[in-house]
Amino acid sequence: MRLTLMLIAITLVLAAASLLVGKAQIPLTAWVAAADDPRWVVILELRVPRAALAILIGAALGMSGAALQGYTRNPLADPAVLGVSSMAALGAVLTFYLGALGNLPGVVPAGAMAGALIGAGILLALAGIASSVVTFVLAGVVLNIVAGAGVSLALSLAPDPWAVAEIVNWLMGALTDRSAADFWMALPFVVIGMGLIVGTGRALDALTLGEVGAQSLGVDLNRTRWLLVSGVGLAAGASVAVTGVVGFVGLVTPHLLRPLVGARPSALLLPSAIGGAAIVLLGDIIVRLLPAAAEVKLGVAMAAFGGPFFLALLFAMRRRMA
Amino acid sequence: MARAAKVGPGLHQGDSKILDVVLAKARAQLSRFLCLSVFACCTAHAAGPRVVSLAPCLDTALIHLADRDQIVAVSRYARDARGFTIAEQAKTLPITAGTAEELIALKPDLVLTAFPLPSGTQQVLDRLSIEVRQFPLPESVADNIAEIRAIAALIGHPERGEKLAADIAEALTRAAPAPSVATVEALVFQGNGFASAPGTLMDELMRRVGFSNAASRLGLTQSGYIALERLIVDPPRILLVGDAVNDLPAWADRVTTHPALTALSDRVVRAPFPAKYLYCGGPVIVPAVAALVEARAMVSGS
Repeated sequence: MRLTLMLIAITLVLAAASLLVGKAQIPLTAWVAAADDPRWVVILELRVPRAALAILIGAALGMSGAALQGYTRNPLADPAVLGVSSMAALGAVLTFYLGALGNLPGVVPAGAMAGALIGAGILLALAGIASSVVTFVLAGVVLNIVAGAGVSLALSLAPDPWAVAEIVNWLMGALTDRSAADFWMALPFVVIGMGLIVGTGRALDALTLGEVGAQSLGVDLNRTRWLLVSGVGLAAGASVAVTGVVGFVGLVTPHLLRPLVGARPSALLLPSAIGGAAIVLLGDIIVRLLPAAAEVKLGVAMAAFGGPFFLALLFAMRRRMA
Repeated sequence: MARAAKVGPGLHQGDSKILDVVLAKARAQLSRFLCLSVFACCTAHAAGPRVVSLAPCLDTALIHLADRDQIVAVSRYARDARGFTIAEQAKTLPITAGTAEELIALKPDLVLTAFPLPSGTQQVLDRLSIEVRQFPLPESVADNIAEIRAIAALIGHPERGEKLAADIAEALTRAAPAPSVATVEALVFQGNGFASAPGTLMDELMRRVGFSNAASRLGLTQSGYIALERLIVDPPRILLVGDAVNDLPAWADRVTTHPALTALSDRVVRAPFPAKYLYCGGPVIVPAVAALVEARAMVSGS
């Protein structure tokens, strides 16, 4: 509980900080400026939705990662590794081939959501055949490869240079210049998805004893799989729908928090959601502070900074264990 | 003939004559067709080399300068109506992705490209002694006119190049503001917030029509995506905004239609400037300059 409160405090501090940074220099004196000052527009219509979105997708991805790692008892699992995010990106990208229909408002995010849910469904069907965790992970990795190939195919067949630029945006997620509308669009799906994931908590704890052990404790593995897959599909799908693929959060957040929380997967869900929000906020602050002419994509920055950090963490862990 | 001989004995005299006449007519038609096709192929050669273009802006120049039957194929991007002015014509022409296989089958005399060809493709074309000429995207009107003249000469129609160069010069002269008129600060603002930076053809066109380019003041050193935050805090007088296809905003237009921009509506004019006028230059300069003149009239009138 103390950890959760601390994480919430960190997230709030980072959220406040994220309102202070950006391409436009806004000194603290502007915070007492008149209401019609254009800098208020920057803060209220650009930075507030951006911070809110960072919290939302960070929470969705962090919790999805924790749940998938709990279910698979595999430290590699996360929505990006198991192909849910790539399928969402593929769904979004395929809408560029719908012609004029693809320009209707909401079609692109709907495509991303559909892609994520189809991906999650395929994962479920493939894993259900042998109903073992190993098949689940393998199915996810293969799904990721197939969806990635689909996006690359779309890239090489792109009807015009603008579509190429647009598809690349889906491969490297970003929060640049999103609006409140994006936040409200993603919110219900993320909330429902996270609700479904929380519903698997008890089953995840039982699964630490292995599948047979969990079944003997009365856990319905099929129901667990359904809840998990549709929850991750909704939460991660809605995140990709508004930002593109932001990897790494779902993978690293549970690892950072597990030493603090303990090995019980259900206890890790909520802290991972809050921790994920903090990590995405931090990443999004860093990309805005970098002195590049164009903003570095959040998805790229997360991997570039997070990767070495994660490796250092692994080395530290190994030393402690040795 | 074999058939006529075979049925001959069983037929009346008249029937066989009719058959002869029909066959003779068919032969005549065939030989006329052969003659015509020989003639057509020779006149095409006489009119200039057969050309393949591998970049949409070169497609644009080619379609304006060449005879239609000189154009063997254009690039596939040329059919995109949002990006290029020649999309309608390109739909009636064969397209190519520029692979060696396709180029061998198309047998052009000349290949126009904007970027160096992949080395494998280049080697194949060298072996077949097909000429490849590279024309990069122009960065100034002078470069652009030199390119137009060079392409027109290569395809055997130098007079059309001169005519186009004269048209461009005339359009620019007519669009130039009087020296007393103050410049107006403007910014290209296309899908995803794309803006043209100084050092581009578009920047020169803007300056020639009496605009100054806000791109470098807003942090762009080369053409790219503008940060909405900086735009809102310190906007230019006019934004040259791309047109939505079918009046529906595409996903890429979510930046140009961001709700935060409504706060600027009383200070900033949004002038329509289609994306297809942005890149190619050449024949596109004439309508591009006309659109810029209209945009300038929108601010000088207020």
